[in-house]
Amino acid sequence: MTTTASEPLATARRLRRIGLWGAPESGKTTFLAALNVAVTRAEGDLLIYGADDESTEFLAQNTAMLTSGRRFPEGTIALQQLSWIMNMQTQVVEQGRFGRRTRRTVPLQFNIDLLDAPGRNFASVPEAAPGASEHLFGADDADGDEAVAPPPEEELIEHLAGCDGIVFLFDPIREQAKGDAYEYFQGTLLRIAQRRFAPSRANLSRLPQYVAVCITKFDDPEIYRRARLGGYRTFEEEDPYMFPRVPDEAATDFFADLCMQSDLGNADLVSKAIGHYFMPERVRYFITSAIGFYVSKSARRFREQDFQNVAPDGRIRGAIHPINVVEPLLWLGQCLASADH
Amino acid sequence: MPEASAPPLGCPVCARPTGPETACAECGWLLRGPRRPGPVTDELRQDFCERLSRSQREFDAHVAALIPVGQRDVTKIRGGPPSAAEWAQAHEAAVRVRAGTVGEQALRGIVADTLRGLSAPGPADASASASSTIAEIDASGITVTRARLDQFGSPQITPDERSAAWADLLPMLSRAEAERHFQLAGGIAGLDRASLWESLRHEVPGRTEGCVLVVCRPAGWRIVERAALLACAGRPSVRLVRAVAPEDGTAPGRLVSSVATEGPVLREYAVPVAIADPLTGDVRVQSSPLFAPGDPVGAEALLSLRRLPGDRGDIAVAVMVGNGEAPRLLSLLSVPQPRAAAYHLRAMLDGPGRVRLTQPAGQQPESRSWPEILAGLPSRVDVLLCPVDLVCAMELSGPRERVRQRQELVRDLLTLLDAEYPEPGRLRVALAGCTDHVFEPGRERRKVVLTTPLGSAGQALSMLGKAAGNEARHPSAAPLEDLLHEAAGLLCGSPGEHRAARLLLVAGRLPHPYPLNRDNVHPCPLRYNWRAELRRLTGRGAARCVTVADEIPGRQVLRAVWQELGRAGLHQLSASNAQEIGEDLGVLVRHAQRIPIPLADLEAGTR
Repeated sequence: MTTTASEPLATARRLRRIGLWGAPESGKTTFLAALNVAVTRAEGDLLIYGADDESTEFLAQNTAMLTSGRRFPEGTIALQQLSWIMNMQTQVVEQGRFGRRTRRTVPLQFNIDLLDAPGRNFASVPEAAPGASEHLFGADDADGDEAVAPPPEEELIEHLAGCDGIVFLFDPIREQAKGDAYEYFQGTLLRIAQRRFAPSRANLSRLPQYVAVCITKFDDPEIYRRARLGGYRTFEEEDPYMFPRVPDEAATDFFADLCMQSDLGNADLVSKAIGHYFMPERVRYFITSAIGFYVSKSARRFREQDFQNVAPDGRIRGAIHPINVVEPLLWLGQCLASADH
Repeated sequence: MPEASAPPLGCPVCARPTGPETACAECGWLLRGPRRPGPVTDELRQDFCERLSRSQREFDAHVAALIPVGQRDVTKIRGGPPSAAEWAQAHEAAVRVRAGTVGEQALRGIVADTLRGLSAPGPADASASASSTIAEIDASGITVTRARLDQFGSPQITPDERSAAWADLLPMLSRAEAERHFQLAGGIAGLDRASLWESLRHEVPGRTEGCVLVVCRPAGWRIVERAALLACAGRPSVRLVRAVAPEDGTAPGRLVSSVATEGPVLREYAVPVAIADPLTGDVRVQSSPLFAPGDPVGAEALLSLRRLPGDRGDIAVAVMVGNGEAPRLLSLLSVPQPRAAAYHLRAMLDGPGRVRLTQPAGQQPESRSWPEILAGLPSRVDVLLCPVDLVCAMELSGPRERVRQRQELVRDLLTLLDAEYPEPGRLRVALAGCTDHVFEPGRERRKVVLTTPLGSAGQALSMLGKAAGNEARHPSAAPLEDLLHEAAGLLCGSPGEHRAARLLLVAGRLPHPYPLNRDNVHPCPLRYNWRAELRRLTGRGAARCVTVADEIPGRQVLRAVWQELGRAGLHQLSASNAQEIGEDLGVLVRHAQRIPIPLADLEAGTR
């Protein structure tokens, strides 16, 4: 049975927080900037707006940069506390009287409180910030009475540890070139685990967060080619652009394939570590693309002969059609809503 | 009347010995008429004398009519000058006598045929050639000549000691030429016929033994004819030719030597020329005739030849004799080629075995041997002799200095070609320049290639450099596929017009692929596949493609693409020069492919 609630579920509860995690240049900022476009293109009652001026400005600027400026957002150079509120309709299952389970559609409003941080803050051994040596060696401090702010990486770890959900971005192109995904992953994972497990000594076997693992840059010819050759690529008939996709149920295997094919580093450990530290039922993989595939005005659909949406000069070639950008957040929101319920 | 030392025995008209017959069997004079009563009166005597005089005049007029006018002495005619009617009758009789005789040219032809039938000696032994003996029996006497052919097929004659003048053969003849001619022609009334014929029988057969040809001229001269018959008597293989008197022709006794030295030539004279197939460039050697057997001295021959573009060297002109399997080298000269693309080789026949080149000037003796020259003849040339269409396609993006270098290379090439292809329409050049694809909405499908129509090299030179360069937008690809597409369009009609198609591609980056390939370079937004365009050019268009790359990459995969684009030649810009580019394009001859002998101009014909 489906009913509609008159009051948003989240309003009476604490703000749900979703953390964004990924190596440098894994496309975190672009992912966020593409979110507005993805929400607009998505069907259903979806709405996103900034929780404050800074977040609104970020969303507006980067969306314009992607669409009108045809440029990718600059890499993040400082920690930014960004927060949006997302409204959506979702279905929850309720336990009724006599154990009867009913399904009803509820308006869901949850906050996406993301910390967009420079990628190097996720490294196993964070790089020292400018001026850190003076601080360590007791340099004169004109404002010595003031409280010392925690270093950015600590703030970030705290943020991620306190998140209810995590969007983990895995850049297979970067991994192919640098092979440092596990390096950026494992240190941060250990610190999150320390903060979640240590205080209570709770007998937790897994971290409680929901994790949406987003394998980015599906529009890159190399990733697309691997999906095609691996048999992961499908097309949805109802998609007017006939964009290729990797179904979510095949994304786990595709991610494992990509990790196995990385010649550098230990990318396969990433998937294994996710399996060890998080509850399997709370992990889902998404094959994503922030800008999507190129669609020429003459063809008006995806064409395998020419689909690169990044021009040779690094700018965006045509219209952006985000793939699986909003879906991870929808899934996370739905999971959190169900858990609350 | 001819003087006679002894009274004539026999017929008073023709001096034929007489017998019991009543009329002369030769001239029909009534020797013994029926008896008539009465005395011989003065009237009768006068009548007899008048008849005899008339008969003798008619007889001698017939003899005189056989002698050419300039050599004829009418005072020797007995009975006084003949009347017009008598002359007409005598000339009619002379015409009848001369029936079936050959003229001067035909006679020379017969002698030439006899000489031609001789075999030339082999190269091993130049003296081992067969010879023929020819006897001329004419107004001067009997001239016996031995003839043989030298190694070039030219007749070489040797006078035979058996030759003799009439004064030696027949001393009874007059020493005065005019009177002797009269006697030779048949005016022998005052001579002892028996002694005369006996002398001939004694002299002629021995002197003419071994002759293959006996020339009797002028036909109808009695003593000459009799001597000729004696020369052929019992010799069935001997050919007797009766000819008219050479009034303005060859002097008596000089017929064979004249034919031998003044022609007509007995063998074919030819110049070996190279024939380059207009489609394939395959080279073969063909003998191009200068003079045919029978051509007279003074004949002139003309060969239309062509200079390969870029070839400034001398050629070796060989004159060969004979067109069989073993033609003989008569002369070998080194001849400078004129600057003109097409020129003539002119030759004059000075005589058998003597051919003089009168054009081009500046001939020198050739230092190399003919086999050595032939050994240097290429089996094929890249330069085709048909008209050429050339497209110079350039990438105009990149650093300004680099773009300038590309344009300079094309400018150097066109300057060379402008000088080497002076004939209008022989070379047509088009320019094509490309700037980068712009991968922006609304601009992707814009044309990025500018072209000029096919025109002269000079026109192309004037247009070169006017198209400004542009910034390179893509690090690893340029719209070369668009250049190929435009070039294919410009050159697609060339084969149908029997014009060779040539493409020069000067670029710094590789073409955009289509469709997207593993290199992940952006595909051409106009969907041109460079390989398909290249196939259009090299397949149906039969174009020869040469490529100059700014840098030739060391990576084999990338190098292979450049090599595919420059199948006929791949050069690096910094190390290239216009001459080599032109050679690879097949619009300038390679040094190793230059043709050292005359090259036939197939369009003009070789003769």
